[in-house]
Amino acid sequence: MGTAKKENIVEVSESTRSKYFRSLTIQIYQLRQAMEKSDYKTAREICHRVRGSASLFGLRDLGEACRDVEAACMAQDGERIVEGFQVIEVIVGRNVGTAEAS
Amino acid sequence: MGDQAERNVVTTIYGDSHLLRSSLSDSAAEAESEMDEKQKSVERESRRKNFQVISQDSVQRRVAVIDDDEGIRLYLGEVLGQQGFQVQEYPSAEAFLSKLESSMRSNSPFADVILCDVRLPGLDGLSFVSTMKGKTTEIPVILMTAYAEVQSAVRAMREGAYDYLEKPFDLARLNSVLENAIRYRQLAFENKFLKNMIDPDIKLAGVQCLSPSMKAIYDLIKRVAPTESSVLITGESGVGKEVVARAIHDNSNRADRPFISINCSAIPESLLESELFGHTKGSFTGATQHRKGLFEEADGGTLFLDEIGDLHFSLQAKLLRVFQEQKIRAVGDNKFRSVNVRIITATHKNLAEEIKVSRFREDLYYRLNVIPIHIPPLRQRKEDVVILAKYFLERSARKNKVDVKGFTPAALTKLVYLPWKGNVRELQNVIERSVILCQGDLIDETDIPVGQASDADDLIEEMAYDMPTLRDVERRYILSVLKKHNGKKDAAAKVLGMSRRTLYRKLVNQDDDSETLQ
Repeated sequence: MGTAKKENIVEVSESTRSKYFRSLTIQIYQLRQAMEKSDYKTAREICHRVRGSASLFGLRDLGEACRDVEAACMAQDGERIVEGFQVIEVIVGRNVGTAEAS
Repeated sequence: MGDQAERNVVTTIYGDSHLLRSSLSDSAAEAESEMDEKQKSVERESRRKNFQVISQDSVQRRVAVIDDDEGIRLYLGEVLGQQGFQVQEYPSAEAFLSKLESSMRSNSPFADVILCDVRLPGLDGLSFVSTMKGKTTEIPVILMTAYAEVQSAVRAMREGAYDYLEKPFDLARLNSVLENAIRYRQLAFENKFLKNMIDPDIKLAGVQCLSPSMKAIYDLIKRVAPTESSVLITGESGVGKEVVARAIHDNSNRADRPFISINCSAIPESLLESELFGHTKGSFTGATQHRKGLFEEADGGTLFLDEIGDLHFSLQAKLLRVFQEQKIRAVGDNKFRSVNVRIITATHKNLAEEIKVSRFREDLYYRLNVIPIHIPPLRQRKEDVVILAKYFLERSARKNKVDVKGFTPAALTKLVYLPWKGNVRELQNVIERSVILCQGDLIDETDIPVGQASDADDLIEEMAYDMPTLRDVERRYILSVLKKHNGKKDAAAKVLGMSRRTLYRKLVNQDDDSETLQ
């Protein structure tokens, strides 16, 4: 789990948490589709959105990875985008897996 | 005129100058005043109790969260719920506005503060703030923004946003901004309500009339103004239909939004549609650019359609559609636009009769006539003449920079008993003329030109049946004025606008003519 600002960590209910991860999984799927089409505009928008809420659920590293991909999309740097996306997938997979296990 | 009305007139004319004592005895007056005071005290207490109830119920802790990121909505829903806020979530500004429209129509508030993301698909946060500014709901909007978008948020605050929050949220700041916004909303609400408590009386253009019929109208305005119901104002020309419409708007929740007025009979039918609904560029010859119609100009406010009885049948159908769908379509456009306009209409015509002869749509009539207000002619509410005359005198003296302070009792008596066929508008014009023509600091009976003009009009109308010569008309008019002044030639000459000598000469000539004829 990431290192969110201490004062912002709020114990959200399991139900809210699982809703969030469900929505996150959908967004990562949409991000993958956008990248496959080289639709960097949509990819950037999705990363921006995920970045906005990730840290609220304690996923600060996901927020940072999204920020990198967002910047790479703006620069249209395909290599950095792919690398960044792989990082995102790993973080999301780890957290969704943890959430499902718990 | 009834006894009470007569007593009101007498008191109003003579009360200030103490030339005549009121017909009420001192003790009766004291008892009446004591009763008034008790009544006022009961009303004050009732308003105070209502205020406590309303202020507690009206502002709650309802937060609307607008964000396309479900994560943010979920998080805020949870966190704010823990703080005792009732949270509603909207994925777009459009979704929120749609809910707002329906809540405004049913007059049931549902949010006390709005948290809105700056970056949204469709209508973005900045445009949303501008849109809300036009809605007069006074719900504070707090923008949520990423660090890089702070400049946009500051711009939005200039546009009317209450505050902004940077993402990721600092919980302490989130709470304090929300609490402040709720307090602001509470204060704005209390301020509005207290203002109404302190000055609950409706005034029409700054005047508070005395007649029971007008008092009933004030009462109706007070009850109708805060609602969204359409109002149909009827009454003769010059009674002040537009002034009543304005008072409804000024006492409504739309008071700080536009009040737009149009006289349907003053604009040719071919232009009226474009005037009301607007037109697109090239929609007709001369339409060189897109132009907003009055419905769009009045968005968020009130549109007053005067002389609605003269609206052409084809436009009546289009107006009906606005009532049904709250949407308009500009001339030459194929899209409908939503508008939020309260419609107030007025007419001097009897619309029920117009329906019978198929000149007015019955379905539209029922839409317009939800709250009918009939303003009686001035001749049926003589109690109001003096107070209106004094008001017009003050206004006219100020406007024309003349030092006319008031009326003599004889002048006021004359004003009260004139027929006022042109109603308040005629009275206003007569007072303005009198103020300008008056040579002293009080307007006297002879300074009021209406008596002659109005009597002369009657006389001419009466004479038109036997088609007299101009000379004969002159003779009959001179004799009529002389008779009115009990044969006093000085007074008659002054009214006739001629010297005493000329009057003598004319009277002698007329006698000669009479002899000749005999």
